[in-house]
Amino acid sequence: MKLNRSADHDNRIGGLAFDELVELHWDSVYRLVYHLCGNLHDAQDLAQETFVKAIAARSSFKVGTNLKAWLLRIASNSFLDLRRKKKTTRAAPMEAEPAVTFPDGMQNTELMQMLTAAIQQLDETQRMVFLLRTQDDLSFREIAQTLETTEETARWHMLQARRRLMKQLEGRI
Amino acid sequence: MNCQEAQEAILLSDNPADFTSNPELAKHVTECAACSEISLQLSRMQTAMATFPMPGSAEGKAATLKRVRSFEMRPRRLILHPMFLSAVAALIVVGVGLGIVIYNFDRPAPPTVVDRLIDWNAELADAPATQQSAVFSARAAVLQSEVHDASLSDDDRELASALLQHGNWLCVNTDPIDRAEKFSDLSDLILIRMHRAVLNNDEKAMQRLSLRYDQVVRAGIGGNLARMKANAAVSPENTKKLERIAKRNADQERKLQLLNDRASKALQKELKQALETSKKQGKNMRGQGRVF
Repeated sequence: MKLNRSADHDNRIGGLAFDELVELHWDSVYRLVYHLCGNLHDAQDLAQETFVKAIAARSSFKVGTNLKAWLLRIASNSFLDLRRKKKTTRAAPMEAEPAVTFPDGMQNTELMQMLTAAIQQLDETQRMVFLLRTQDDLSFREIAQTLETTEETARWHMLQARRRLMKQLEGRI
Repeated sequence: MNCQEAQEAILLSDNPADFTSNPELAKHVTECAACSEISLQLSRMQTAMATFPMPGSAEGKAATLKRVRSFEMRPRRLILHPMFLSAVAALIVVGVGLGIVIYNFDRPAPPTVVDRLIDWNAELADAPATQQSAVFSARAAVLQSEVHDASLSDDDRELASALLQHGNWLCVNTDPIDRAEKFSDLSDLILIRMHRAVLNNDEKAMQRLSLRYDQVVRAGIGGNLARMKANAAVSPENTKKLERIAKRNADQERKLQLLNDRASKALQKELKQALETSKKQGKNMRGQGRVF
């Protein structure tokens, strides 16, 4: 009898139990989707959806490849799906939502506010490349694989993102 | 390297503060205040990004952990391979088929219209003279219609016609010896079909034929001969008829023995039954004190 099994054991991905996977990679996934969609509720939903999708598709993960890059790819695609869905259901784009505010007790500095606003001004691909490199420390090769593009294109998007951010934050960073 | 080239290299770099892989750029940044400032600003931006607070992260993580832990506790659903499912389906089909074969293994085939005609003839043979007409008319028309509509081989259709005529004849002929002789003809026709069943190793046909042979010999021949004996002394003409019946019975016994020797074990059980019937009939006739 042949059963379709995941790359590892039934309840494991890349050698990690489901809860271990969340513990280890939650921050990376959440940071990415938070900066991509710019609001807390969508970020929470997208991050959870990313892990649920990863668990459901665990048989497609190839053991030995970068698990974090695989998760971030699922997260990026989930964001693009959500954005498409929102575009078809309402006129206002996600970027038009209120600017992020930090809860009391957190570092609500001017720099953070400016940086968040500046990141939101980047186009989607630039934002993703910038976040995957600065937040998740993916190499340009891994970013290229995650976004299904070439390494050169990923580097070019990074150059554009850094250039625009430098211009917007000129003299304030 | 001029400033424009250096700044582009910084913006394209993996790490805007580490140029060890590009000594020329590292030298330019060290010597150029403007390019050094760009490198520093990008580094500060990267550091700020790394320390960026994530509102709602803890709540989202807790909710996600709760959800994924419920997956771990849930029994894993087996996703069966299509080949496995196909094999199971094939086994079920084979199993059902085998079940049907086994269920029907010892069951005789349902009676055909020919069988019903033989049964009807045997009933006519058994029926008292006063009830002959009632037995005949009760089923004659239905059987005739069935023969007309049934899909029969030429051989079976010929036998069916003979049986219908035989039934008609029995209704108007009450002489037991004549009737016995008619049934003796009929038993010969059945024996021919038993021979065919042996050749085809057709166990179900043999079951049906053996049963009918027993009815015809016992009720048709034996019953009429018993009535003849009870009625009156045997005339010389009837003696000849009796001799013919006895001779035919002896032939049938011999043929049945030969068929039994040739038949497969599955058919022998039925043939032995027919052979016993034939032997018993021969013994009864000899017991009546006649030498044939």
